[in-house]
Amino acid sequence: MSEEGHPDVDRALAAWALHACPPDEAARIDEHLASCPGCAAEADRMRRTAALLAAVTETAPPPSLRAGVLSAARRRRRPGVAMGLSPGLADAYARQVARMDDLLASLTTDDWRAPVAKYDSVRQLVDHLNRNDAAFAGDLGLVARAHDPGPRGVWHAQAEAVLRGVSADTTLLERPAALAVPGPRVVRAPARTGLVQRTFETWTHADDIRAAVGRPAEPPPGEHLRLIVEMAVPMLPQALRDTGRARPGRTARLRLTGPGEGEWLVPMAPGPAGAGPGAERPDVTVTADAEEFCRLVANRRRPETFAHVTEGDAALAADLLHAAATLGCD
Amino acid sequence: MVPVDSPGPAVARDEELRARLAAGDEEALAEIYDLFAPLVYGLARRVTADAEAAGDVTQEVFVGLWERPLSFDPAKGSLRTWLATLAHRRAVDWVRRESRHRRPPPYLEREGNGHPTVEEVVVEGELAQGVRRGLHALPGPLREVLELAYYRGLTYREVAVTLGIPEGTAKSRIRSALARLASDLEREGLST
Repeated sequence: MSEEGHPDVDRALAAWALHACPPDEAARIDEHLASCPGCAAEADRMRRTAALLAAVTETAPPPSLRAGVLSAARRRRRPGVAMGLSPGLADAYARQVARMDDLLASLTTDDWRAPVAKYDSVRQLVDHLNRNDAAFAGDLGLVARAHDPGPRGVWHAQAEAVLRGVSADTTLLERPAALAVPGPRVVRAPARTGLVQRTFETWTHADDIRAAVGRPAEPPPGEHLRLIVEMAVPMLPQALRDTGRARPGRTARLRLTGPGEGEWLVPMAPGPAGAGPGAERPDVTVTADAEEFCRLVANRRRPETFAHVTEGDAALAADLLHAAATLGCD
Repeated sequence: MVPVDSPGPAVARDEELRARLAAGDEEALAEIYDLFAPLVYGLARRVTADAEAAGDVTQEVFVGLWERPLSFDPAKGSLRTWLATLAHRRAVDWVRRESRHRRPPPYLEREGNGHPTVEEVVVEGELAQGVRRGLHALPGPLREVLELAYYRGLTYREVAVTLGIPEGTAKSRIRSALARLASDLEREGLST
């Protein structure tokens, strides 16, 4: 168990459960917990004990706070709109798959040979997309059998298998499945996140192909952009660390405009899962177009020349944009 | 006041509330607020010692749950635990941001451990009484580190400096304190 296997982490786990570790140490422990079920179970137990300590501080809040909280909630997410469950998500993927399929169906033999983005040909790009789709589908047990052996047929059969699978069984979306990440690492996340990434990658590559064959880009609707931003933002703290740009204790506000608009607070370094600092006074606010931000995340825009407005610490803004540009899957 | 349910019904209630939040049911958020606002606000108020900050933390915690209900996973612990953990995290973040701007107040021995100093104290249930008994049963040095680390939001390094003890000692006292408390509460049937 943790006691013998991971003495360093084990010694600090109680302090970690009380949020009493310095940020760098807390981040190291978080990282360890993500890959060690034994320590993670122990950590959950300690968290539960720590939370009991809150029982003796219960105090009625001022009565006016209730209305303030409920109206702030209403502004941030409309009541009556279901979320998270599969229809919206599966629908977003279905629409990007349909657009890609129409595009591929319209390509000439020469178009298939055109060099595109980081690939020698459109054909290679579609093979690459299919490999990432297949890794995701494989983790969910959604294996496809293509009737048409060409690259379009193979890719489309795989995408259809994913769509049928997640529509038939929404619990699949809670299962871990491969995320496409650069390099040889294998990263798994709930399939819900993976499906947003499949949607994102399918759109990005469709636009790569459109650019390669001289057609205009087709941006997705605002709801799809928002799904993509909501997927990317929680990955930013780790990306900041991976690029040597982590700034523990600092917070950026990301304000995106246009279709998919919204505001997000980004801790500038990894912290305990699901609990970023709710900074009321972020160190910097970065304002940009939501669609363009998604293209930056796809590494289709350069952070140095990315159109944005900064209020506050410009160096933090640069760090944020550079980290965002590393989240792309190819 | 929240009764300490047997795990079964509490888990079922938490799962139902989560599903209603995901479906966009605003009433569910209001119900959760009414159940847990004293927990969240009281903890934030205690840690930050600042009514305005406590209000901000409370808002962030409940609005965050409304925006991302699926980030609460009933399999890992109760909604109560999740909310208390998040409220504590946010309150501690506030304390650390503040302490960058001004020196932390010197450590003063506070009147009786665990007693809220504000007027509107919520009527205590079985859980609070049990936790209070558990805190009182701890040896002074162990109670002291919980007071500083949990209720004041200090890191174990700051706890060590404040008490003039080595960091390793601060860390191990925190660990012993939490372990003692866990076993005491478990004996009373109050673990969640």
